[in-house]
Amino acid sequence: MRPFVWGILVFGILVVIHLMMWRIRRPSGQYVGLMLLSGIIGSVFIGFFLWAGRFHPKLSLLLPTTLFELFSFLSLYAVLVLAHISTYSAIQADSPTFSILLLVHQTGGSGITRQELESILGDELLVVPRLNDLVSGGLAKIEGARYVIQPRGIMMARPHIYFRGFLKLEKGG
Amino acid sequence: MFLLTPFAALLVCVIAHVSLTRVFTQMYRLKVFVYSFLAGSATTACLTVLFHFRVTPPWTDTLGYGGLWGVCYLCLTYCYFFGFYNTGESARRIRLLIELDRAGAKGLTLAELLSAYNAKTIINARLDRLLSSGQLIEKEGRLTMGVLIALRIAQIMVQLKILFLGTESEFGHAAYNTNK
Repeated sequence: MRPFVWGILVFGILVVIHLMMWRIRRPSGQYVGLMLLSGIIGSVFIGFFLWAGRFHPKLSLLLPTTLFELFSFLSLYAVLVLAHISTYSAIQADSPTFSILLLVHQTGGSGITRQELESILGDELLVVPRLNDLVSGGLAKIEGARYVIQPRGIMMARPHIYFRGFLKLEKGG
Repeated sequence: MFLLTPFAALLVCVIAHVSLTRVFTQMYRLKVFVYSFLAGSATTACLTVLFHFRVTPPWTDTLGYGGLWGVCYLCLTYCYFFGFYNTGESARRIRLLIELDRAGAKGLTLAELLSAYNAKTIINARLDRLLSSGQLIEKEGRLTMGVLIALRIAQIMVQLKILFLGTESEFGHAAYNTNK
């Protein structure tokens, strides 16, 4: 039970610190910053558990201290962090699906036509910002007036190309 | 061995997902997702029971580890479906990278990229999904709300945006104003 409780607790602490730090000042490399923060918090607590296990036997009754418990704590914390990062990427960028739903909802019962949707959600809102993300993230670069994929971009694109090909699915997007 | 329970369950889930997608090509994707998820959940449950009888810990420990592995499995499948599979399905960044990858070293101009992938394509793909799942209804050329599940998730995401980023949208509050 201890790894379960501590895994949830430490993850909760991470979310609170993430929230506070990002509201004060968002780092330019948001995902690297978030991973670094997660690593630091996880390491601090692992260190604390090891220290308490060795020097404070009474305190260690409340903490994960055996190898089995520490690994369980770490795997729970790590997967919660991964899920948090996945969710954060959805929070950070606007989803076109959600934007459509919110726009339709805003109109009340009168609804909206496809043309009206297209006039609000144009390329400058749906495509250009994501293209800029690729450039600022080093996944693509601009050479003259052309966008050229970079090795990091290839590393990100190819697994999806192969996996979707293996699943016999068409191009996504 | 039991430490790897959630990872074994994820493996079962991925194998089930890949097999079902390849074999039943016409099956609704949400259905494939649910069946695959259940296969992995059953694996987690079986391994937890096996853990109890093989290691014989107190019931509280079995419940604690069962809960921990359950949450781990849930997070792993969430990462697989939403962080990996769904990004290939609907993420614009991945689709743009795929277009650029196909173009190779010569790259593409903005106009060339937009001729292959643009706002209209994006909107139509989403509308197809939203209409087929009943989230939206199209009547006499106008789109209105259908089932409200996806809308509620969208509203939660807006609240999370406000919480983490201090704004409703990455483009500011008025970005999606229908009155403009």
